[in-house]
Amino acid sequence: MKLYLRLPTTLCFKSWCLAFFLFLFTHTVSSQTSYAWGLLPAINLNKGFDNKWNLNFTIESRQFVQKGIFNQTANSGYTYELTDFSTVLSKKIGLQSFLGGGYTLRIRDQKTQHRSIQQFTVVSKLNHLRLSHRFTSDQTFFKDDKPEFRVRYRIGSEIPLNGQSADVDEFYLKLSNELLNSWQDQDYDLENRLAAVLGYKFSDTNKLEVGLDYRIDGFIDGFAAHVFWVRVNWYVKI
Amino acid sequence: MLRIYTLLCGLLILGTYPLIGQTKFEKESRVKESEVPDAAKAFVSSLTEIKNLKWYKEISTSGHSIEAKFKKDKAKYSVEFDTLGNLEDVEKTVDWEAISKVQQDKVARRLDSVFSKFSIQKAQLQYKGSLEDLKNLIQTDQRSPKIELAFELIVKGTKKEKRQYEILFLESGHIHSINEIIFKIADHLMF
Repeated sequence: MKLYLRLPTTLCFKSWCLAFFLFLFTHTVSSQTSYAWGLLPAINLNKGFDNKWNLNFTIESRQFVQKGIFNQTANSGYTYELTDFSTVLSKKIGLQSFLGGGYTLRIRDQKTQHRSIQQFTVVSKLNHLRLSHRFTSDQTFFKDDKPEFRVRYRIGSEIPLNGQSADVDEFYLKLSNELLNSWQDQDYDLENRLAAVLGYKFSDTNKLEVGLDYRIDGFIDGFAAHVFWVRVNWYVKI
Repeated sequence: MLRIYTLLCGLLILGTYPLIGQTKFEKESRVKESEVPDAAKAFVSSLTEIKNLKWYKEISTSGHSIEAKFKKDKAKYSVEFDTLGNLEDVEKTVDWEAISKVQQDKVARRLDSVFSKFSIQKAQLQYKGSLEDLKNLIQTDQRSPKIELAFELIVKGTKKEKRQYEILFLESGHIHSINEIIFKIADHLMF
């Protein structure tokens, strides 16, 4: 007997996105699928120069609270993973477009990794929300491994929860999705990072965000790894 | 699927009119209808067939005001009142190309004299007049000669470098005011 599946032709964009991520999640969860969840706090300092140049300095640390394999007992408790120290110098090259370059020092298991970064960002306004497109390439160098090259694209938006723009003493919602292509030696991987955070603007130069960041990689070769981060971001402009 | 690709492509190529806060201080937040002065509520409720009505409170260097934003016949309107509910002006968002060629030329000549290069990102017609005339205007889209008309434009213009401005033009084509638009810090969208 043939079964016919009838999809509503007017399925909205939100429903498609939800269906896509549900598919991605359920399709990749198998007995081989690993998961982890942890904390991802970050302090983000920015210093502007001459209205054109901006220097960003970020400290971000990763701490796992639990790791395991789906459908099995968790096999690890709290573990400190790494800390990144990043700095990016960017120049405003258009009304709201920025070109930047930087460097990240990663400290993991008493070892250091070095990453060079190039990024281009455009911010625009669509009715009530601010939208950003960020294109990044980076190269990570290891002492005892081949270098890793990544090309990333992130779309992000700030949605004010009161009024038409997120003003001082107001909350906003920040949603973003990033696709990361990475190459290391002969290996290729694709990672997706979906984040939703609630932000509060203490002042024009001071913001705090708390939310969730869901990352999945390894699904191309059938060994997907799901990571759920609780994000806390503090942005300060000095 | 075509819809998703169209939407994604649309988002990708959007360089559309940017965001903002002006050089003057301005803060806008939603208010409940119960907090709106009765006179303002009475004016808006006297209008027929309006959709998506939302009330806002605006605090700026020029004081406090109450704003009603809604759609009528697919056009976006913004009606501004003082804190007592007295009507100040009505603004209607329009497609600049739909404005008369004569008016477009007047504005273009003036912009030419200010900028080496410019493009109009957004246009609003600003109307000032009596309560009754402005009500008729919204209802019928017919402007009484007693109503004062001005054009509030968001303009991307180049002098030494490219900037964005909010410019208020009088009907005569003269500039009434010009404010540079200062973009809000977007560090949380960049990093």
